[in-house]
Amino acid sequence: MRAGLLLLGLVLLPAGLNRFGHFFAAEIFTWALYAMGFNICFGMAGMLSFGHAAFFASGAYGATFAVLYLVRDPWVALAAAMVAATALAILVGFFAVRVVSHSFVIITITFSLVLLLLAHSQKDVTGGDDGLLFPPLALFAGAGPSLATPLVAYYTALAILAVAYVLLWRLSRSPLGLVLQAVRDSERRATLAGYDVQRYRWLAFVLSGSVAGLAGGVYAITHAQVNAQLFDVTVSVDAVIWTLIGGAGSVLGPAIGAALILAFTNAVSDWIVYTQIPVGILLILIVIFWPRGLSGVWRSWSAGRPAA
Amino acid sequence: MAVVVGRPAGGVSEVVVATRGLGRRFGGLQAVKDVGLMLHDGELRALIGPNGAGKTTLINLLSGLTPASSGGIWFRGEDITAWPAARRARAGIARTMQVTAICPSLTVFENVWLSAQRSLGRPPALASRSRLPGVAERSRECLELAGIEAHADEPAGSIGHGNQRLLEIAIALALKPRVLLLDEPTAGMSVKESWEIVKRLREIRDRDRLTVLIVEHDMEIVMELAERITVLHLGQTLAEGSPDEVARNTEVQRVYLGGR
Repeated sequence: MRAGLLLLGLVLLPAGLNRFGHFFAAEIFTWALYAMGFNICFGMAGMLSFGHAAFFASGAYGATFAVLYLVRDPWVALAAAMVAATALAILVGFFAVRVVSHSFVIITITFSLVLLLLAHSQKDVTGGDDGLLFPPLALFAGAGPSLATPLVAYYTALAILAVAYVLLWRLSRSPLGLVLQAVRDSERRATLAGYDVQRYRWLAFVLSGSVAGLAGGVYAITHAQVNAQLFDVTVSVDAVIWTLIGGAGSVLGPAIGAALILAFTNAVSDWIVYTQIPVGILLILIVIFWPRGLSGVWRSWSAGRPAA
Repeated sequence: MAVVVGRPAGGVSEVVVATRGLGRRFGGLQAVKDVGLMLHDGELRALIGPNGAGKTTLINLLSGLTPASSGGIWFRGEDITAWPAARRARAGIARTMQVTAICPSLTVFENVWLSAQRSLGRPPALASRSRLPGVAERSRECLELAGIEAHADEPAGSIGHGNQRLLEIAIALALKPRVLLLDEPTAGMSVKESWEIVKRLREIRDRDRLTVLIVEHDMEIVMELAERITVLHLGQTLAEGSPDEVARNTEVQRVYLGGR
């Protein structure tokens, strides 16, 4: 119900925005999708990854390569994004899920740093910092409106985000979602209930990576360009910050966190050069006073009121 | 040196769990050494021994949380020595931990639901939870057996310690086990609560014809509950038999009264 109202609001919102607003909102939807994907790994299955940039970036590059070398169809590009990120997540996950906590953080960071260096060194393939460009795509394989139109990008990104939200919400309430939460809560209990913990960790990691890759694909088709900076550690760290601020305990929390921080950063960037400083202070305050993030605050606030 | 007295109750019942030459070494410490244990179908066995006798290690070996250093374990005639813990749980060896292991942020019902759905023998899917046949019923039934159905919708981390112990038993029962390994289920509970658990355990055993191995410190409970007792000392089987036989055993008296 609430999610439906939110969606309705977002469908109507472009009427009140200019072209930059449309473009910027599409950008927010893209990163919100990325944060929600990250949270399958972190919030649901309890694995703190500092390497999700690798999946976002490999998705973005997968989509770009599909456009450049295969077919100029954004939907094929999105499929390619998911295939690339999923394959990478299967490989990284195979090693990463064997360890927990600090070691897991280190393995995921290391993998993404290796890929960052690789992306910068293989300029012929990735374009390095300059990146790769392609002429903007039409929405349906050469037909329909151009994705370079901010409004088209807005609705495309919103539609994908909405579908992903429904699927992830469904996952969080499914038997599989419950098993992932059990693995997060108590590895021992999940094992003694007959679940092979590493296998479920791996599955969560791969699902998480493929959604992050899909977000990378959305980035690529709406920007019509990608670059090696997408592999940067700051992209991985952003997912962690947005999720902690928005709240890891709900499907929508990380998306809310991404939207708020991106909107805030954009709003103050004219006056503040180092926007990381206020964001960092906010993060510290939230972690101390509302450890379950804004969605946790919202939840206890709405639960504390009589049912309306 | 193991002194084995008495014979299995009930004559020709099937051996459900058997170990041969089972051992576990932690560095220089031989925690369990050359244990040959046979649990018969439907029996209620107590495992006792002084602190450090290797009781928990033996339970860990049987449930698969600790791999064996030597010897083997058989479950219904099958060699399960190399099986990981999750597979043993699926096969029907359920256990509770000495230090409660539950999922604190899930509800009591969800905790039980997880193992009930595993006992279906199918991996979990994206299907709606309510549509899995029999799982919710099974979960409720196990909560009632444990007597904590009133707390079903509370987060498992927020219910009292005694209820958490009962929850662990309910979770174990939801797996539809053949063998139930209980590592000090009454630890940290009042005398009244402990006897309540004992009463329920016997009911459950009679109803589902479970084989139960229980580690327990309270001798009064052991003598009342167990049909047979195995005494571990320094990682080895010191004695085995009916409560009376074990109580009369001079080796056991020496260990319990006179130290080493």
